[in-house]
Amino acid sequence: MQQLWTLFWIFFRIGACTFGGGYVMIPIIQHEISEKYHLIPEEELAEILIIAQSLPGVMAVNAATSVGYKLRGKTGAIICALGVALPSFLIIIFLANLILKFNDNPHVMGAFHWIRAVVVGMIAAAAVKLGRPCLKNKLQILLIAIAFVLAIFNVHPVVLILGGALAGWLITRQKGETE
Amino acid sequence: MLQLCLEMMLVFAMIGLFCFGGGYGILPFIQGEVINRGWMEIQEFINIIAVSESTPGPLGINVATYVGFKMGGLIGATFATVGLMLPAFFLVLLVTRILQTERGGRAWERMTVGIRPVVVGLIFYAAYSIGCTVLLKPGAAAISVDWLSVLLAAMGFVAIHKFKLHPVILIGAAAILGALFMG
Repeated sequence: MQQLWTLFWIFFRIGACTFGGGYVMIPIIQHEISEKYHLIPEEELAEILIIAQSLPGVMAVNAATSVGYKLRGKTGAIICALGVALPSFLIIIFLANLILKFNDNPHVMGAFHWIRAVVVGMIAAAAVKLGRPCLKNKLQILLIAIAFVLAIFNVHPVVLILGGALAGWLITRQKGETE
Repeated sequence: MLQLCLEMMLVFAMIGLFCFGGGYGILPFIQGEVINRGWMEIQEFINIIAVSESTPGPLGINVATYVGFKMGGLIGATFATVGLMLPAFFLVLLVTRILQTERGGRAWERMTVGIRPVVVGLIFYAAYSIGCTVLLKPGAAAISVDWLSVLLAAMGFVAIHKFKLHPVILIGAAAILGALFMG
């Protein structure tokens, strides 16, 4: 019981203090779980977190669920996931009230007009950063282009992602044969 | 009401099961699954991105909570957010074990070789369509370009991409200046 509470508190603090989502959270989880509380040995935790990062979904939730499941089974998984998600849940509930209330204030509208423009630049920067590792491989560049074009024609993202998984499977098989 | 809550839960569970690539991995799903359902305007979504970048916590949770809260209050927020998180349990309890085996891990690695570029293409498209709504002004006769927004977007890109500025600083500055000049 006490360990469950400690786990909840660790992940609640991580959820409440990290700006910028999963990639920022991983090293903090490693510090808290391995170095500070010695709950999981460093190497084992690294292996768990690498898998958690490659899974789809919210990375922070995946990481918290994996660690919780490893330590305390299903209950641990639920406790850790709730801990990491609760701070942002509460913050947004609080802010949503404000945003929906002050929506027609001209100063707030002006602020969000400028913010939205800046966010477009931020998304473009994030897309470029995410795309950079794929630029070495011609087939991957082709897949980026195909996905972009099919998205214009409203092909569902789930279909495209499943197609990508299949394409990845086939690309690597060809490579394996020539090597 | 219950039907809407369950629908939100299912939609966000589907997003949770298929969004790759960290925070912005949710972008490709927003237009088709959330905006077309009338749950949120695109402008609202971009506001939430800004709020998310300036507050702790992952973007996905923020979006699910906001949409759920707007459409169904506290109960709606709970359904949507739990929905987004549900696949994580399935994945961790069942799939992790498969990925830990040598064959499973190798197969997954091969698939991600194709998934990653597809996600990049999808996020580029989402960035493009979001860019169009923010940077273009629909007029009575023709669509015109909002040059101020284009300039701000370019500055935002350079600040993050080249100078690695923290998003919070950028958003804070834009909020203050925007409130002063447009208010």
